[in-house]
Amino acid sequence: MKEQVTVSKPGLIETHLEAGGKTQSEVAGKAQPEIVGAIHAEVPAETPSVERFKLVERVQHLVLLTTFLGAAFTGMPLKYKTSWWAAPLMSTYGGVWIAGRIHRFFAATMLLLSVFHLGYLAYYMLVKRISPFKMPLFPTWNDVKQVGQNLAYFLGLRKERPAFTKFAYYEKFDYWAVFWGIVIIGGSGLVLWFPTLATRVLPGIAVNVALIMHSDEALLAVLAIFIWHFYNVHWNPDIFPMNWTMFTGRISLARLKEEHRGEYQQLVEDGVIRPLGGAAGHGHHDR
Amino acid sequence: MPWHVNRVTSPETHVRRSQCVTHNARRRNGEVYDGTDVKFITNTSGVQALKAEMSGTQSVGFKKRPETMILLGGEKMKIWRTGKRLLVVVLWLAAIGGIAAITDLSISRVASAQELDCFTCHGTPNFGTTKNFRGEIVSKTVNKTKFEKSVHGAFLTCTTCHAGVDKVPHEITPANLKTARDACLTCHPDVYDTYKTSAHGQLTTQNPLAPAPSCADCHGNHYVERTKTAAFRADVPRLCGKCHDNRYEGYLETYHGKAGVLGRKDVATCADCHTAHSMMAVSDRRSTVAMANRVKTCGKCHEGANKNFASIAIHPHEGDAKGYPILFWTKLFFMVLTWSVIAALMGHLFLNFIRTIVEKRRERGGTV
Repeated sequence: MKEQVTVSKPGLIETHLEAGGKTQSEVAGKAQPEIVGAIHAEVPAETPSVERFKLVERVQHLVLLTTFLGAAFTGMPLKYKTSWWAAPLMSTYGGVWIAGRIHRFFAATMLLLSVFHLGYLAYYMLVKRISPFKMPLFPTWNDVKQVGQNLAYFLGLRKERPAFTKFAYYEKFDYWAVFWGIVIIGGSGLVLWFPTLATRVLPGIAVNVALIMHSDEALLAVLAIFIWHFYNVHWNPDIFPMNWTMFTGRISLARLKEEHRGEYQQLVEDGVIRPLGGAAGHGHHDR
Repeated sequence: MPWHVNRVTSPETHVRRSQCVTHNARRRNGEVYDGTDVKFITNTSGVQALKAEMSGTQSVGFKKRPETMILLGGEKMKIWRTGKRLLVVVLWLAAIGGIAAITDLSISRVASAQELDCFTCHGTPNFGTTKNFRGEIVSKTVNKTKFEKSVHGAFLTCTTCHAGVDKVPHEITPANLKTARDACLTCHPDVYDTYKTSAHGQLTTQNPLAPAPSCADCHGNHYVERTKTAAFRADVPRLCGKCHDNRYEGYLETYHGKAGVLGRKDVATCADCHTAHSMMAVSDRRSTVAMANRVKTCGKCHEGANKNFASIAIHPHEGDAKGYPILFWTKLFFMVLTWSVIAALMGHLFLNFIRTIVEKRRERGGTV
């Protein structure tokens, strides 16, 4: 397959399916041609790929992952104060007080990121007039059905994965888990950061509740990231050592066909991409 | 040996020293000689003469004036001798002051013969056990080195506190036990007065056997530590937790407790809010943790503390469904949420893993 597919495909929100009800050729024509692979060394030039995440979305992910790790590593020793690793970790930061300041720095950056992301969503809703219900991360009834189908596939009861569209249910889960997590951890974190201000409005017990919420939800977040998310993007034997899509922004057609068959088929139908040869879709994966 | 020379350790030396003291006192009191006679005589000969006179073997011989005196003439000799003595006194004072300044040790202790006797038995390891005034079994061994390093080791001896214990075998009477227990108030009456009014003190003054701490329960008995150190401060919650274990556990779940465990020194410990010696029940209006006084108590550290802020549970127990129902249910909710979500994700992950491996084998052409 020497042919290059030069479609720039919109990211989290815009898909050709929802881009204002335009015809396929309009969408394809509007897309800006790019030389695939030229700017991303991870994707060999001959590998046909499409854009999955826009630069602004990739940057958001990078900021999120940095601030998440920073906050997690400075916060967890406090939660597990008596563990063997807690005190040494704290002392490498220069003590509890300094760790607290570092934690707040990352937390504040993450909250700013969240505000930016809400603005990003609002921009698409208000300026580009895309209904949130039509955004590809919005949960649908189809997702529920696909959970059953996918589990059946895992158990060998189905031969193929469900025809996932741009985002499969487990990817939507990751997005909304972060959404929920930031509301819970960020909200409770602000109460803990400014307890005297918070108690002007809230009763005293709210600060105790905030501490439980902050600490327990953080554990859930850390476990979800290090077990679940890391499996999906690192440890999975199909993916190991790493899925670079969130950093390069591009996904190979082979992987797209494998993991997002619904979206692949739609793109082919719409004439955005040419179908892969029979051999390319099966068995062999490009990163 | 530098300054420690002053710590006379053998009983013999001690006796000699006290005899000297007696001599000097006698000389000062003029019991044996009057001043005019003594001042022309050197110290050594004076003592010898004194000894001789005291033993009655020889009559007083100092009235003979030395030949030098005659040679120099009366007045000049007097001035010269007085000047020399003054010089010696000044030099001695300077030397003592200098050594004291260098070693930074203002108190020197002279061990009494009696104390040495105590450690002969009580200084040996595993000397056995006895019962204290509460009937608790305690060790009879006292570590001499540790005692001497303690706050009191520098100037108290055993019988300062264990007054009346002067016979072997000791007479253990209720009076003796009481003396030891109340020994602290001899030197620290002000602290005792404060303590008496506290919740702890009210119990122990009414009934010494009441389950409430007196001085030694927090400060220790033989190895009293300085309380202003970071180490003692960090140890306070554990100390109080020996009885108030429920509160201690709750405290450890709050930021104060967690940060304290990891070495932050400026977080509040028990005594910062409850005070060290005048802790009282919340219902007592004088208490620093009474509802009316809490804003002020929290405000010591938390600028802008208000009434709601002061009602934050400072040592809550999440497991206490009746005492803290909101915290109990919040905790339960998050525990169920966390573990059900993680279990579901792990299950999904595991099934995915199995299927991925199976697919990979099939692709390689192997059998499943």
